[in-house]
Amino acid sequence: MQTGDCLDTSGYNVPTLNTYDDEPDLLARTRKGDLDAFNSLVERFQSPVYSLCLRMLASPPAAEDAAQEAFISAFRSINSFRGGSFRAWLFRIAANACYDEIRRRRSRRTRSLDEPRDDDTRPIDVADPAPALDERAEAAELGAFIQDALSRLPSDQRLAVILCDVQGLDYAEIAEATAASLGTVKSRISRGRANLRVLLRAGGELLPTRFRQASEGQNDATL
Amino acid sequence: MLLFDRHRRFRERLSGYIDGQVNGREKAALETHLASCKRCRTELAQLHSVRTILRSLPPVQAPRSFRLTPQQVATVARPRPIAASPALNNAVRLAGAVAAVALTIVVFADRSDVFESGTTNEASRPAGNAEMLSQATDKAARENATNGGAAATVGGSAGTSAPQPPLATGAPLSTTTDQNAAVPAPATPTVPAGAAGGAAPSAAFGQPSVAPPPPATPLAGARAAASPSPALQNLDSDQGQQAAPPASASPSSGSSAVRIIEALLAAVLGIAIGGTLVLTAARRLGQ
Repeated sequence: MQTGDCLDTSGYNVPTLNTYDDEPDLLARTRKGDLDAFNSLVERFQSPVYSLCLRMLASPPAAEDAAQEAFISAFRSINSFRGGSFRAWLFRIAANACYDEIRRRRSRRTRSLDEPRDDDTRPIDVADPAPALDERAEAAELGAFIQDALSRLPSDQRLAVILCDVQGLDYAEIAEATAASLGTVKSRISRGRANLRVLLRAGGELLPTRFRQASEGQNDATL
Repeated sequence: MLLFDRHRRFRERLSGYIDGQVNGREKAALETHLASCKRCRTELAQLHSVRTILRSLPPVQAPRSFRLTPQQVATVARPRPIAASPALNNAVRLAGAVAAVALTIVVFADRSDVFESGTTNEASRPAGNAEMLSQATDKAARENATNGGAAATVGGSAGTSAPQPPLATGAPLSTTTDQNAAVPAPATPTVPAGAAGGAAPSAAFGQPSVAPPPPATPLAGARAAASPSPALQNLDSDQGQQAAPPASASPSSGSSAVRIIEALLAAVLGIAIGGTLVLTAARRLGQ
């Protein structure tokens, strides 16, 4: 595991840095076909991988499928992993699984034109539109709002932003995970955040006060 | 206009600046610009907020375990060998057998020629020929193995298991019965004819002075050739899966004619190699 500037995955139920010492050993055993060794890695990375897929696809069932598919193909192509960050390599496979799903959706959408966007787009159904007094409901609404904004980004920008700000990878790891140059990574993150800034500003009252204040300040400055 | 371009260039760096990706002179220039540009300061603050908001998203836990079961790995791995057409497999095997026989005949003809004219150069040539024979047949076996592997598209393991049969065929063939699908590792030549071709020269190499057993060799060849179905099954299951795939029975069902031809070719091959051994031994005794 690398410590990166963006590294802030505090919430994950993932062991801290120094418990990853057995990763080379697990990888070596996996190369010999040891499924148990690989499953240890699966347990270690399943939440980050699922989270990446969920943020990319905004659909829990689709994210589950993509994550499972990613682990299967990671096991089968373990010999193509040639050192570097295993996490980045795994994310790359997961991202490819997500891109496959996005492509499938696109072709499905062109087939049936007025099909509504995924019913699962919102992680939590806000069935009651009455004022959400409950703090948790508010947080969920905010989460859905952010997810919606993410979903509107072009998929390359979305992936780069998720890897950096949600998964906490550093730029070098993101370059590895997206098979892109460092310059491309920088510009994708930059554009992705700039787009999000515009999208989130439209969200108004949902956002934390800090962002609103920043927005108001911006309005003062520009108008 | 120039000022606007400069401003835009600075704006593009704001995101990287937050992540500490802007250094040295660039950073100093950007900070100077920020000090004088309220708009950029505001944008910087907002980008900072975007990052903070994204990071504040509640962590997502996997809804279930994604541990892989052997079946999950197997069901994905299995379709590939089936996808290769049985006809192609048979063609590759037949081609291997024919090539091995042709090679043997050429070498045999060459050798008998030497024997008849039987005078000079004898000390060096037989050894060279034997080496050529074994190298050539080994190569053929390897090529066959990789062909078979490619046809069945089983990554890696088919290729690595192929060189083993020549070393081991001698022992199990004398004890096991034909077409015993349960025979474990040794009796699994990927391409039977090629393996038989590889087995014989290594025997010739290992014990050049011992009187050769001509009747045993063709039999061994025939047996090796007559057991293609276990080889196929092993190709199927060779990713370490014990489950015998039901579909793997289909390739062998339509190939009895091929097997007979293969057996015949292997017998010819065996006889030819046996004859070669006899001639070699006879000549050495004559010396």
